[in-house]
Amino acid sequence: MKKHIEADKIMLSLEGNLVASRVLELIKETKQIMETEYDELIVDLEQVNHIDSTGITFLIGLYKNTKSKDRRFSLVGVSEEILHLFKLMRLDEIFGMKP
Amino acid sequence: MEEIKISIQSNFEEVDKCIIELEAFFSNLKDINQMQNYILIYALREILNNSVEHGNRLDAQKKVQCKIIKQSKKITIEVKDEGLGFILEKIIENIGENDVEKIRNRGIYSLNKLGFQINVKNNTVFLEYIIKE
Repeated sequence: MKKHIEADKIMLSLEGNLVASRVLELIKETKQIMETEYDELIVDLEQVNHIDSTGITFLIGLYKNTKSKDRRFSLVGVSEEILHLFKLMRLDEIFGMKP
Repeated sequence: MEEIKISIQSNFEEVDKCIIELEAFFSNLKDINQMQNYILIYALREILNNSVEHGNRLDAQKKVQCKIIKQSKKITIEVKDEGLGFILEKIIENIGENDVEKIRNRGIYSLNKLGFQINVKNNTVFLEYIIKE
């Protein structure tokens, strides 16, 4: 995972698959970041190929964390396949997705 | 008819390895496009994860058996663990579809939305998927 901070924006670039075997580690890696001050969290999924419901729950966790603190959340680099899954699960209703 | 059978130990790393084998199996099948391939792999990972985590409770002594058969346009998946099984209707009742953020049992919910027929008998989950043009 790569982290890029610019002004009050944090961009997290996730790498590899967003699946059960990796999510625990990701939660540990993002815990401290989520406790810092920021206005916007952008999660980049460009390097993410596969996702499962654990990975989706992880993203929802990030989204809810930012929402609870009145911050902005968006996803970028979402593949066609993952977007298809998000639309079926109506997650496109809550995730702001930027091209 | 094409068929594959795999047995794995109950941890998520084994699920990952199994998925790699299954990706190779699906990539050799005719009639399946890229999106359908992705959906099948997604479904398999969900069911295997569930069996490993909830069925076998991550017990290293317990195994999960997976069998996939492709016959014409129909793909049948059977995943069996050594747990006590679950009642599908109870899972579906508690999904809580009205609040997108709070959906429970998101795995099963998503399989339904993806076009899979799901049946559960004791500790075996059966999925059926029809390949459409």
